[in-house]
Amino acid sequence: MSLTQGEHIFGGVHETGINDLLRAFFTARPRYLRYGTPAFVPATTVMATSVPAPSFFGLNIQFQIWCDPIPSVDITPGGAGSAPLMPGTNEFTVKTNLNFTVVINNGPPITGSLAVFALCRPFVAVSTPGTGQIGITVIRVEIVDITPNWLESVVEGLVLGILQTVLATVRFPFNTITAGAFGLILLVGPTAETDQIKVRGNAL
Amino acid sequence: MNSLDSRFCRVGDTFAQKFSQAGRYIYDFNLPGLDQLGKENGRFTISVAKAGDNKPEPKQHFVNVRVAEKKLIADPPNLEIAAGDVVLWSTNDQSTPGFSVSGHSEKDSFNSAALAREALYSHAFGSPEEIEWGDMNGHGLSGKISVKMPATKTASDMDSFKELLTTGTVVTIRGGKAEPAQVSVLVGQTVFFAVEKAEGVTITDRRLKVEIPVLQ
Amino acid sequence: MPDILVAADEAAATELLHDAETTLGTLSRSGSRSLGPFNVSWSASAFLAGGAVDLIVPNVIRISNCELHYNLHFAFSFDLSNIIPDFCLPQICVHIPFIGNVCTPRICVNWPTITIPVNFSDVVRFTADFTLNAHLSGSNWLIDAVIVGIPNLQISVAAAAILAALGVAAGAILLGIPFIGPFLAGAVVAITAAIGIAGITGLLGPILSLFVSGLSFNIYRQPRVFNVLPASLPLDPAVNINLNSIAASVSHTNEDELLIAVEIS
Repeated sequence: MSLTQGEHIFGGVHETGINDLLRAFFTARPRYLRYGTPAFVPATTVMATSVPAPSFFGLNIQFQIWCDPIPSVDITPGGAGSAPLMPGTNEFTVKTNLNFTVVINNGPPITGSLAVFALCRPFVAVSTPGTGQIGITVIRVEIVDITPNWLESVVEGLVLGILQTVLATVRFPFNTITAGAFGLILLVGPTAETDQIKVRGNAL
Repeated sequence: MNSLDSRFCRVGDTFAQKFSQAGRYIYDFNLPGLDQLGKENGRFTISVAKAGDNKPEPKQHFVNVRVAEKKLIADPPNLEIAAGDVVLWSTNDQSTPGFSVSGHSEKDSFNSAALAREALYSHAFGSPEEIEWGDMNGHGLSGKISVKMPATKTASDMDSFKELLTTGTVVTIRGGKAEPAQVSVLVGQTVFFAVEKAEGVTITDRRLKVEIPVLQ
Repeated sequence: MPDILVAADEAAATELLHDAETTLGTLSRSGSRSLGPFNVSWSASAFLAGGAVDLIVPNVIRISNCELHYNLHFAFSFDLSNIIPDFCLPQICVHIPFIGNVCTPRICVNWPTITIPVNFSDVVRFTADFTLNAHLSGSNWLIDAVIVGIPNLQISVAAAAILAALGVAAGAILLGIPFIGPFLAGAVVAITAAIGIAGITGLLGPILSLFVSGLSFNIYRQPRVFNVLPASLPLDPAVNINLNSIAASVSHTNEDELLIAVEIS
């Protein structure tokens, strides 16, 4: 079966390529990996994003959250490393460690790290022919080894929001998926399959 | 250039003057319209001796006009002829510019740009066309020449054409009239304009007339 | 599996080629040479258009009926005396009653050196194979489709047309030469015969071949440092990746496809 099938143009990025793109994105714009309340990030810079401190029963809660290593993907069919949250049809797993430091009422800092798996799908963020962009939708999150289960669910709910924020900023332009060879009019995709994000369409 | 203009003789043109009066003529090549040469001017001479009692047959003398050291040269530069002889000027070099000849003796003069008496201008026609000619010196003389393309498709045509080239057509000018006023020739043929007596005329294609501005 | 794989079917490859033809634009050449008694100076401009693409494994683009649109200007210079014999006005003698016998001298007309301009425009179609060449040129990755060999150009009809145009132009130029009239038809025949179809073919072929010899279409050009996202907000710098290698090939499954494989970092 040909790559283009019923269309004229095919573009496919292998998961190794996606990981290169993610590395380039977050290396250029690290503030999308690191978020902190004013005690940790007084103002948003290239390196970190300042977020307001939450209001919770009058407590002064200051925190800093950052992803390290840079998120990486495993596109369906998943490998052994994605075992906690295997990607299914048109899905890919994003893996990272969510690191945090929390200070409550100026108490001693509480630090930790969670291994996070997020189940994602690609979607068309901007559909304009030639200049469209592919984005990432986070469906759900899996954190391993938090007990009891209800606590795990609470934490996963919080982490889901964090990862949705982190990954919402990531965009893959059509032009990158075709390596600049064609202006793409997207007709099919994006789909996640055979370790690739794939698109098909016609040339602009 | 193959224009019909007796003021500027080129390849295919001739100017001939009969010298009926004895005398020593000095002459040179000029722009038409210039004042007559002074008595001391002129690089070339024609010495005309009186005709003897036995009145020998008149002769024709050829003068070839050419360019040497950027000047027009008469070759031979000096002639000794008898009264009644004819001198004919022509050039065989296409690079020779158009020339007019004028000269004088003590009692006589001649000028190819103002044909007056016993003078001849001939022109070989190089292109098929209808030419109305006139006198640029304003004496009202005029005529018409129709030049046709000869048939030269066959060898026989070409032979006939070459034979016709050896015949000339004569237009005689007396006073202000040309006879015949209209002639028809073939490309390559020659018309002879013979001036018996006139007030100093030119034979010039009317299309060559230039309006010369007059100072107010 | 490469980091990025792009595939284009023959329809998309055809569009790619036609865009490359447009980008190539109009090419110009000029020169001169001798052709027997003639010196010919020429200038030519040409552009390419059209053609159908057939992708052939492993890395060939066959372009059928590619059109070479060309515009030629020739100037044929020669001494007319080398083509036709000089013409002599014979001596003519007339009798003028008041002058006497007068004879003109025999004068031979030396035919001049003339220049005949000829303009000619036409289209010639050719079919040729092009191989794909991906390479780094300075800071850019290029994929060029480079012609294999020199295609055979069918120019016999054009050569005949040029010779006919030369004859017409010669007639117009010669008309202005005094005394040529009786010899005009013969002169035009002599001029065209002196050059001949073979001469024009020998002139035209090498000229047009200049435009197709080594012909190369650029079908891909991207900087080695590839911009993924431009700088946007003051705190969001541009996102770039490195194109580390590019390879171009043709694959065949149920259809033929042009493949571009890219490794990035």
